[in-house]
Amino acid sequence: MEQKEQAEFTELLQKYSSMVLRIAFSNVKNLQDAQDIAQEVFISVLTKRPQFDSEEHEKAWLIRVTINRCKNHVKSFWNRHTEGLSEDLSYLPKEETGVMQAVLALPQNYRNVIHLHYYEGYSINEIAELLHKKPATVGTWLARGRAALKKSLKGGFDE
Amino acid sequence: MKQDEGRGPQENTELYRAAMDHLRLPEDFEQRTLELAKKRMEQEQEKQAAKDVWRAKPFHRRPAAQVCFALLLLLVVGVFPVLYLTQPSLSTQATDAAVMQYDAAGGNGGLDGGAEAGEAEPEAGEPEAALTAGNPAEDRMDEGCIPEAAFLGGAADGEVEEQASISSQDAAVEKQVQDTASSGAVPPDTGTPTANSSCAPQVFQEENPMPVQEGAGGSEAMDQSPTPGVMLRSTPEDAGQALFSADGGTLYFQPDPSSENGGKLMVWDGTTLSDTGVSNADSLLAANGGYSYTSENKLYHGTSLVRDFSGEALLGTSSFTLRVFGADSGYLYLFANNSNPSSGSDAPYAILRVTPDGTTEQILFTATGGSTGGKITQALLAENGVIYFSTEDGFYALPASGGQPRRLTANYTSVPFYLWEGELFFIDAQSNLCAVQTNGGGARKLVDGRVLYQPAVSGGIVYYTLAASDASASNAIYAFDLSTGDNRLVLTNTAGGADDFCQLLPAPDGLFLAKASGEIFHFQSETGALTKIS
Repeated sequence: MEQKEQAEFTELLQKYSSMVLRIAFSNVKNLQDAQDIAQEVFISVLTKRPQFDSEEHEKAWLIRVTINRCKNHVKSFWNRHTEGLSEDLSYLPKEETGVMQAVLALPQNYRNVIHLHYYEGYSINEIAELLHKKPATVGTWLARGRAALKKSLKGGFDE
Repeated sequence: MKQDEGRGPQENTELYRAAMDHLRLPEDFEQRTLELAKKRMEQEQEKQAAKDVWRAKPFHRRPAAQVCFALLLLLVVGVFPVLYLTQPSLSTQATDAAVMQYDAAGGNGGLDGGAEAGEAEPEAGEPEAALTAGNPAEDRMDEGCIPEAAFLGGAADGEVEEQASISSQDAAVEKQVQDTASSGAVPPDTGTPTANSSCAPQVFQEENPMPVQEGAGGSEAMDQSPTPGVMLRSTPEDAGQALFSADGGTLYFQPDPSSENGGKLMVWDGTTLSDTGVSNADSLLAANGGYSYTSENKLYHGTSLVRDFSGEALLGTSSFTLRVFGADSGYLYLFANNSNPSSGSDAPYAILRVTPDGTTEQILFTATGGSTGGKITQALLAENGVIYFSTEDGFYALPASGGQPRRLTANYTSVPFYLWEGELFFIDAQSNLCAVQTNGGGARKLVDGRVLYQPAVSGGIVYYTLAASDASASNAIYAFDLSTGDNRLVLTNTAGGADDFCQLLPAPDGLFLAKASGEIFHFQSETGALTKIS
């Protein structure tokens, strides 16, 4: 691998590694698996060498690939026939653990939308484009996710 | 159920962001990803090259095509005649026809004719007989050996019952051990291949109903550098349990106060058993070439008083029970639990250390009750801190120099936990053997689908028994190799009753085993020998 490519990859990692890890974690609910998925995503960047039109395109590609990899992971034979430890988040401070557990208890679609909206700051239309869904569908998921959070957390998430 | 009363939506959103911000990739992530990507690219290139070579070959020269053709030929030439011969009805008909033909010819050599016809029968019967005789699994079961499947699920019933019937007497115990070793039915432990002399110190203590002991490296590691071990009485509710602590081949133990010797602290150096004259210890630790213990909130080393904590306000105005759980070159480590048996999550506790001469004391952490509190049931001294289990919140890691403990996992356990090569091993609420790294990551389940009980980690091997509710329990001891994943039976208990060997304690060369009655045994994994100590 050339030095230039390596430097570009390092820059890519610095910019997006945390985002990819967070999205993977919100999907698979396990830090170790999320790290593995993040690694697979960046390996696919290196091996497939996709061409991006813009920085937004690059970011959207990474999010899309991460979510797809997570879906594959969740559907995998191994994952369906093994039971992960549900408490691997509890090294977090206690207050944050409660909120995190409430979000992670949501169905995967709601979780993704909640994370992309509240953490990554995407609008409903942008999320719809990322997930290849209709904005109305994303809006419904977001509303249902909020409603579920209101039930499990006093106050829920802000509208 | 509502959680986190009193927070607003904005605060919840901020907490979620803050929680997400804690996620980190490993430091060597970039380097590992680059290396993996390079490997993948090389593999892809090799695959592509192999594909190109394969495509370039004509069809009849491709190995797969040749193999298929050969198999087809074999089927036609070989299998059809064999099938014809092995059809008993066909061969019998042929024989009968031959006899009838002979009789019809009027020959009086009926015997000869019968013999000739009879010869055909064994020939025809041979393949069938071979099939019946050639079932090695059935043979093994008949001989009473325990196949692998026996301890994976069903257990060889005959074997278990037979051994159970000769249990219950000490002489019978010895006999069974000899039988076991000589028959090879129970393979002896071959040692600890992953032994690491630089492993973290381990302490083991138990909560319900067993005490804890401290583990160590593999047998070699223990021989070279004995790791101090400790078995602590966990909570005041556990009063009456035995205490154990091992250092190399020396075992210190204090049997149940109701036992024959009245609960005196004993020492077994591998050959002889001696009485220390000490009794009523609350905790016990093999340390600094001898043993330390606490009794009535006083810390002793051997028979010398190190420090009297009974007049100190370790938990403010609350009364407390002090226990010693670890030792390194500079300090003895202790924890103090609220001694009120009915206290709950609001009970304060403290973790402290004191110099071996007792002059300098340092409080590492005090849980004031409320948001943090409960009782410590077990603590281990790790390489860079203290790992402990609080009854209210799960596992915590506390830096060696003190500060704020970090929660590792909220998973509950009711049996001893251990440290081995940077990982914490414990039994979760569903009785599965689980591991989590001491930094909180990499949680995994190791032995699934079995109800484990009383594990003892020693030299990369997890020894365990099965809970009485497990259909294959039979009080046998199994070994799970952490490096290879092998799971095997190492000892079939001679005694009846599933809770007979109720405590497993790592020894340098195997295990120390304790019965509920207070009797102690030493199990040597290499030879399979089981020796009664007391």
